Amino acid sequence: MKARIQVVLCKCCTEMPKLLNMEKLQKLAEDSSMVVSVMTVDAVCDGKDLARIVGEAKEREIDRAVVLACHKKDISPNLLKAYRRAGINEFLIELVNMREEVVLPHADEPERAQAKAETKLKAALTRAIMLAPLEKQSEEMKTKNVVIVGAGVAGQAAAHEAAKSGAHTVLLEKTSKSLKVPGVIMTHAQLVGASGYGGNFQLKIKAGEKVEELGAAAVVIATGGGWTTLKGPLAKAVKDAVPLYKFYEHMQSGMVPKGPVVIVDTPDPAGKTMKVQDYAWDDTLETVIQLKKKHPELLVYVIFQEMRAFGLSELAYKEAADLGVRFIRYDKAGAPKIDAKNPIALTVKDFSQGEVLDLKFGTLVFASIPANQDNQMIADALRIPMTVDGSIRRGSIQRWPVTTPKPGIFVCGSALFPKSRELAKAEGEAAGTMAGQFVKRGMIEYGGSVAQVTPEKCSACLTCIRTCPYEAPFIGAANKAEIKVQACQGCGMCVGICPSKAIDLHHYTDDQVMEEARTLLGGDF
Amino acid sequence: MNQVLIVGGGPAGLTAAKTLVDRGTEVVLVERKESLGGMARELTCKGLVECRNCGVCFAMDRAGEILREPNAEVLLLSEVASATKADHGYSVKIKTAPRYITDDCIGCGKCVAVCPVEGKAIFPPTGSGQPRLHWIDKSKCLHFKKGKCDKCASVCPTHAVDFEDRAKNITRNVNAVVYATGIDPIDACEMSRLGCGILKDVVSSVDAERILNEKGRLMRPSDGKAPKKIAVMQCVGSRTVKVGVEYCSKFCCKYATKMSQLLLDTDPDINLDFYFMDLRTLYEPQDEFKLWAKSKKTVKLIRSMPSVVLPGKDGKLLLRAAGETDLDITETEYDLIILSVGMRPSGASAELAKSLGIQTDKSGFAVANHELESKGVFVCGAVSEPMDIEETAVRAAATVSKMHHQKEVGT
Repeated sequence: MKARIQVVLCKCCTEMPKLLNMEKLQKLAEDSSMVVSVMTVDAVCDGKDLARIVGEAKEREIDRAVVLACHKKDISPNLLKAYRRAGINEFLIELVNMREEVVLPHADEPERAQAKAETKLKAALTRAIMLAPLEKQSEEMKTKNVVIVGAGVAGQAAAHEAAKSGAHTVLLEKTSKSLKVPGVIMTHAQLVGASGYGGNFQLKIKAGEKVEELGAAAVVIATGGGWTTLKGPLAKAVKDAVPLYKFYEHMQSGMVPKGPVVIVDTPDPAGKTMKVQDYAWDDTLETVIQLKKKHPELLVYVIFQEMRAFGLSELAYKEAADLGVRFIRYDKAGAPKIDAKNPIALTVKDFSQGEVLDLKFGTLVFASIPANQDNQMIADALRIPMTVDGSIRRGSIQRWPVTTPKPGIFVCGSALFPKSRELAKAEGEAAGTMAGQFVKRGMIEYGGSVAQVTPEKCSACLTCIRTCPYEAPFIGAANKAEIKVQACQGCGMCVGICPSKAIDLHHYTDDQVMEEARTLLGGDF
Repeated sequence: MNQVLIVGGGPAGLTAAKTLVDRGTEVVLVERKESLGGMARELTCKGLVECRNCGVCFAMDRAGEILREPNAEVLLLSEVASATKADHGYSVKIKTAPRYITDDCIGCGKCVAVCPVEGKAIFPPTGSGQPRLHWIDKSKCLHFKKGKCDKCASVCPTHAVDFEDRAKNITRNVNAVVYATGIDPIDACEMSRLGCGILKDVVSSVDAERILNEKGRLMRPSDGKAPKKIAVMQCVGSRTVKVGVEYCSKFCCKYATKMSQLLLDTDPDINLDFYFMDLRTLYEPQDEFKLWAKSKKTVKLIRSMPSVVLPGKDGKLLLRAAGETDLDITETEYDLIILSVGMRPSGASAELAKSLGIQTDKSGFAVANHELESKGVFVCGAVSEPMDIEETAVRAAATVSKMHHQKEVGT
């Protein structure tokens, strides 16, 4: 293989020469094969130095480059732009983060730093020779639909916001409640299946009895919490126990609650999973304060594992305690129990005092918000990860909040974890804005570092199809696996798992990775 | 003309600015300090092995984006002098202090090395603040005090030092104001019983984050050795009645748990005791931290608030705390103690806030209400109630959508 490599050594002003022998590095680069130009510059981030680098690149007709500088994020936008002007593909530029991987961690050991720098340079040169140019492509979105699953507080807010960016909103609601929101509202509708990728989804929606197909550019999940599904030994023992929201409704309608009121965080306190997360702390405190103000003589107990009165709710916690609400913390070993024969008494061990308390109650309330059961179906349909709690797992905040790991799918409200109405609305607005902006782009960019199948090696075993989190592989017309490039995010999972080694990831092919590793680790490893 | 003034360049202001610019609105961002990022500048990324979703990079990435944005005017070292009601919004006067360093600065730090002033008069941007330009403090610089030193100018490779830079008074007419002045961390030394300010090895979480951000490793301030037994103490200054604040600062559990995980990532041999009242980790499913702590043999979660920190033997620290059940008292020795401090709203009752009609509640937070919003003033971020970076970002986006909603209905 022939290549004309340019090596750029950045001094990072004074930082690198302080620790490293730059002349030695330069000599090493010059002596390597296929290197036609070696430059040592003060700072790659400086415009003048950048111009010099590109000028040299053009003059010597180099076709690829190795740049030893700092973090990709800091230099890459300008550097890649400059090289593009010199006609060099961005995938032919190998960046080595010298500053953060060599200079900073080995500040006290110059010998090790020098050795590491030299090895990294050699490895980068080996890799640079094997690199191939890649192009990115774009595709138009077929629709402007934003499908919002769930028409609660968050869902409605998302619909309003998405509509402002010119998206066509479709709201799916499980019940038949009537709403005033822009766009189409489908009642008795559920999301049951999906295929495609961010920008061009094909959704299967069950509306009433029939299943409809619908194209969508983006999906917003706003399923909320599952108040109605309370299961557990306490709920079984006490037949007339009510969830918190029902109790609150009764209270508002003027009903006087019977006897001492006990509010327990979950109907399954000794269960396998400690669902402390589910506790509706905000609503509980609001309810008990109102209750105590209306009926000061009433005994009110709140039994919980973890009082999560975040932020200013702490003041409500204090107010409730001042009003005479009794808070009892328990742990799993001393979880509340109810004798099935005498379902008006509850035994619980107070964690901080170590005493076992017997409470007689008239009303038992559960303040638990379990995760919505529909989440499972939606996560399966869209193939997005869930948490152990059964709610939707959010993606990394690096790509904005309210996102999921899959582009084009957003999540907001209590589908993430139980939260107050006000915050759910804010999240809905944020998710709606993001979905709207996503649709507004009208185009999706794809390609570059994506997977590719070698048809001769493929035995169509479907392993890649089961593994891919983005539904990129499919069995094509030739009965061999193919990759839908638009959906591929370049994660490399299919490459690792393919039993016949038929899949390669561009820019990280087996040869490129192995050669680089061999140089880094030395000899046969 | 459609312009919005944003007061404060922290996570809230930056997210609001980015969301507005994406929607085609011009913004004027006024930041008091020399770089963008607010509190996030001095916080450390907590993901050594895997991303822990702490949100610090989110704020810093937005800072970088805003600086490259042609529709965003970023005014650093600036303060809003006055805001008066005009026809379609506000007429604002902004005072910008001179930086004395031009955009040619590449942040090499040669100038700092040669500065003869004790404690230096030329500084790099704080922490990971953006842009990476140095700045000169006029009150300390010898060039202005005695009129002759120009060591930094002569050593600068890009001739970025400009002593002729002058203060500017800028007037802008804006349609709306986003008030996002953010927070101040509570000073850990207010709680003197915990040894802060007296014992060197008791550090506040803000200091710990700063050291981790700069050096990547946490050392004992007294002798520079790596600590082997660390205590992390929650609710220092929050949820207290006598000193500090009464409310819960909301984000301390989040950052403290993630920082503990980071410390164990950097050195798996560290023994870590985590003292807390209630574990209020936000957004974490199933108390991931509890499960993580269970899986590590060297981590202990202790539900107790330590009463006092005393000097121990061999330079160690002695911490006295009640046991989990209030029935016994234990004394444990540590190499290093980290106090997780909470927050107070910053600038909620400043002159500018008053002239805009922003009121404060009994805890000192700025109150956002419809009346204020109908006048074009939007309170955003942790100045309105305690919140972490993630929630701040969500709420800033929501605030922007409120702003556009009002424009459409024409109020």
